Amino acid sequence: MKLTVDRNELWRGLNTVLDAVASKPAQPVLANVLLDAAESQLTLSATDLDLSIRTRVTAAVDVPGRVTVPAKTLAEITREWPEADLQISLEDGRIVLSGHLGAANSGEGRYSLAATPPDEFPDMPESLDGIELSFGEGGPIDGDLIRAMIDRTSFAVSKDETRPVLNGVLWRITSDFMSMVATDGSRMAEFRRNLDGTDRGTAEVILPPQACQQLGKLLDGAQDGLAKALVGDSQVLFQVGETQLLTRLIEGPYVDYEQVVPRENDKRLTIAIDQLLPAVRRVSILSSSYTHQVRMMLQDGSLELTASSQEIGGEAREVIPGDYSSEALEVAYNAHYFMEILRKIGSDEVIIDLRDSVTAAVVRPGEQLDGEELFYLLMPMRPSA
Amino acid sequence: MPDTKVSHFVTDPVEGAESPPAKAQNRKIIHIDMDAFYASVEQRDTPSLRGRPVVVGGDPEGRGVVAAASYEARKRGVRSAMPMRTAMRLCPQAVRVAPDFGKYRGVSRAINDIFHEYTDLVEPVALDEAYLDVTYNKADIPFGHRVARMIKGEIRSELKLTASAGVAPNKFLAKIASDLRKPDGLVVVMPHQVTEFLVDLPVEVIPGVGKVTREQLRRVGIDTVGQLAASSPPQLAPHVGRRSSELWQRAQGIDDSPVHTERDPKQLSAETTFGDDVHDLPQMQQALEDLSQDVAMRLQRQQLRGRVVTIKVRYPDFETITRSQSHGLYLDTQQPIQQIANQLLKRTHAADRGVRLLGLGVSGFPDMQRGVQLDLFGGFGAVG
Repeated sequence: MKLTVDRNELWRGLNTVLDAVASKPAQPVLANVLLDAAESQLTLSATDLDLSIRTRVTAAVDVPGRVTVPAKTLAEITREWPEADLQISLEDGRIVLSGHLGAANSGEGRYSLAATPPDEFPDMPESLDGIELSFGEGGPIDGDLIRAMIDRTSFAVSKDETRPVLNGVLWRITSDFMSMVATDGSRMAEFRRNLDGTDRGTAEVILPPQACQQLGKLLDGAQDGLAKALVGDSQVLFQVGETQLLTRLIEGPYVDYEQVVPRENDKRLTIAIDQLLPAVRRVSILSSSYTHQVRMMLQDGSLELTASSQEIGGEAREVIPGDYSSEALEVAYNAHYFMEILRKIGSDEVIIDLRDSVTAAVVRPGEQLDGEELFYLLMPMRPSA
Repeated sequence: MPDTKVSHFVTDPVEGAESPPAKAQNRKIIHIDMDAFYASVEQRDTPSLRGRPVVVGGDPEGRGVVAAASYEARKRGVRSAMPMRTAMRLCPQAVRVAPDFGKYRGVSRAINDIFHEYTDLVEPVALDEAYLDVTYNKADIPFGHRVARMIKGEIRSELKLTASAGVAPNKFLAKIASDLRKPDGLVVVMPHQVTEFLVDLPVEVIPGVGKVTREQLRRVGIDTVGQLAASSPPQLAPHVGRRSSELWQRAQGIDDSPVHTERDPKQLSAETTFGDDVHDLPQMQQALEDLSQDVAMRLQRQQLRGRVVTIKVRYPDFETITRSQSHGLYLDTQQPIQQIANQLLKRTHAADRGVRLLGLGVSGFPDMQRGVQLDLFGGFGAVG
């Protein structure tokens, strides 16, 4: 193997795949990145077996070849390399990085690293048996939309391993809409956007949150958005520009979440987030460190927030104006869950629909785009005696 | 390494077989019971004890009772909780080992760590016994008996000890199952086997059925669980009173009690029984220091803080009293707990009368019930 590659290109490629390298790899070879040089391209891949990333960078390939090298070390060397060309070659089982360094390329550097043959490195398929969602025809799915969906839903994913299906984000796509749903039982997030009706195929899968995070990151730098997804039985392969992301799926079926969305919440509070959020944050200082419970007393035109902590021996109370005209209601929430929703909702005002002290609140942004629906459910805490 | 004996009750479970629809029947509960735990630990650590009858317990000259007996000693009729004197008479060649509870606690923690590799729903019953709910487990293993076998294997390979396990849809059945093929047993009761599993067992397998209840039931012709199941709560009521419907439910194999993790106890306590009555105040204070150390350590481990300290004093004539004091702050450190305990001791007649037992507890934890987070899916039980 012998090739020349621009430092910036190589760094971009390594930086892309590096997130798939586990900090504690299950097998030694998984700490490596696979380099595959062929036809004026260098392909880099890394995997932690759950998540694999592959990307391509332009290179002048003299001798094609495949080899794996320690990913973090290669990345460190590349990061410190000045903006200049870098030669990579395989010499006697060692990978050698060399090139001109220093001001006006006055110096020279040569680094060699032990390389491992590629045979032990798990194959990442180029394709999958399954349904192909081709976004080419109706135009790619807007990367910003997917990123917003991930950002506003995935935080609600459960970390409780006793309910495995809740450890992921439900991603649904049909010709008419795309949605993401996440819940841990205490709160739930759903973001749904209508699509133009172009047939792109249909999918309903549970994505691990790490995969969502990576997909969001890839789309952040991408120009074209999501071009293609191949949905298999247990894996899904995303294509973003020159990069492919392969992830394990969480086995469904997902919970019947639509059944728990309350339909009879008849009391509505409308309030500015920049009033509500700081108040909840302040009051929660004196909430129990066990429960983070903040009580909310709703009355005509106002909202009273209280918290008390037996451990600290303190009590907090704030009254803020809010648009509320239904009968008085007292309800308690975990302040952390409440604040997280208020921070993610992305609007100036929030509309909270309630029923009683044991029914989930439906929390929506004050304004939504046409064809877009974002809402959160927040379960109360059992009211105090 | 010898293979674990596996006994599936009646028939082998068919992997992937249809389970009955009732949700409660779909739980996978494991009861793990270490075999002759203290005695096995001693035999493990002292090779010369292997193969010999070992009795772990206090001095036969004092009031000691048997804490554990190896299987060799059990063959001679030695049983747990039997006075040491009786045990040594039954089995004079037995090697007596003084219990080292610090060591057993350490081993118990290691066992607990193994459990937590599979589930956090662990209910410790004693140092050598626990219930696990593995309906959903961290290893994503769909079969309870497979989880049980893996846990037994890890206990064997990592700790060189054997455990018996029962796998069943509830705690009551799992407990009976673990006891059936001791030592090193694994007994699986599938939901459809419950009736057959119970039918011929004696009624004493039901917790709470002791000698008295057994006799009451025998008088009306009920000896087996099957016969109990065939009666009805109204028929039983005149004989066993309020517990009739509970007993009848158990006889049907019904037990909905959840696996309680140790998160929400009412009181955390420890106590010491002295070999001889103690009349010396410094010695009592020393005991309270040790007890407060133990209680504080457990409070911290469970992230609990309580504001009520209670001591228990048993005088030489067996009269037992408690004294409590509330404190303004929530406590979880040794020093204030010990201080309060010492003050409480002064409010008893311990110094004049002497004591045979001292206990120390901390209670009055913040009301956790008030802070219970409600669950969106709580209404329809398990999800997934």
